[in-house]
Amino acid sequence: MTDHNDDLDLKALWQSTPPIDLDELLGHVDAERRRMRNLIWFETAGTFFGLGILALYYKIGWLTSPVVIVTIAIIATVCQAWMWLWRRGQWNAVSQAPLDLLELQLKRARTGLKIGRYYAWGTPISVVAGVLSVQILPIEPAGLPISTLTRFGLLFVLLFLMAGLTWFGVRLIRRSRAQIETLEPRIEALRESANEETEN
Amino acid sequence: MTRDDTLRAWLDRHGAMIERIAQTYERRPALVAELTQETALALWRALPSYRSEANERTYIARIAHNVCVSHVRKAVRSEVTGIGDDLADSLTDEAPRPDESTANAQRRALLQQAVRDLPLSLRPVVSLHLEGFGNSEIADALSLTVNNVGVRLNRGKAHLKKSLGKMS
Repeated sequence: MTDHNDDLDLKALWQSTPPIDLDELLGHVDAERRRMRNLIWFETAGTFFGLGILALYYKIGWLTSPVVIVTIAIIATVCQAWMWLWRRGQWNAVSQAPLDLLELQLKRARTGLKIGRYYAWGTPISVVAGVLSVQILPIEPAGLPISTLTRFGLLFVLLFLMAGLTWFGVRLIRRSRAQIETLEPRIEALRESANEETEN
Repeated sequence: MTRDDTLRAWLDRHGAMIERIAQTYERRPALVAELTQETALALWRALPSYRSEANERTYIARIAHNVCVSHVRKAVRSEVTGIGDDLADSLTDEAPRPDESTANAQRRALLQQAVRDLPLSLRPVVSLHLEGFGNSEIADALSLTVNNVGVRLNRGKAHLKKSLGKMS
């Protein structure tokens, strides 16, 4: 390969690394798989917890409009399903060719941007719509007997949940935009270089 | 054969190659180990989409390179902070493995460094060539034409010659 190293078999030298510790490597793979499984369960549990809280609010009369409940439930379910598909896409994308991989990453970043917008805009809009509908529509609360302190506690949990979702959305938008800005020029450069080399 | 058995067999046969590919993108031993683990996990995920008529070694090499390219992309983004670079430099000594001579380890370290110094477009072609892949296999793994592989390989060899000349 080189004049200076003619006497060396570079390939043999390159491949002279000792074998890896297979059990240790497989142990890491198992641990990571467990972590991912737990994460999916955690996300699912979080979604159902959120929906449960909303149902409870409806039951005790804090959220009297079924419209807001249904809206939030739909948003939460769609987002959750999207996240699952996104994650699956991420898993499958790894065996793609390099340029295809970058394009897939770009596609995922654009999907991320959309999901972020759903969370960032959808959540406050749902809450405002819910509050307005309670004020405007002549709906009687289901009204379970509950103390003022508990009502404030539950209100706090609702606001906390909504603020968290909005924050998550904003963060996702910012991250996705940064990814798109990095990826687009790189893909363009790769395409140009591939075209040039083909012409040469 | 179950998915886990296949993964074990693949890693048993090609684990060292995966680690070497990781070494062409990352010099820090801890990150090399992390990249090797990430690649192993990516292989497990990709196993259902593997078609038996495809070349196993080429498929694994492609996945390893893709994982490493993603790693480089993330590293470039976080490099703005520059956290830990000095520390990383101090941890990159290529110590010889217990079962080999110091001279051999040093020569291999020089070669690995020379490959790492190659531009990103040439690095995967040269590293797969050193792994013993033929030009058509490299073309298949990296989705390039065979002619393109030839061009890149010649450029890579010229770069490598220059780097090894300087280092020695």
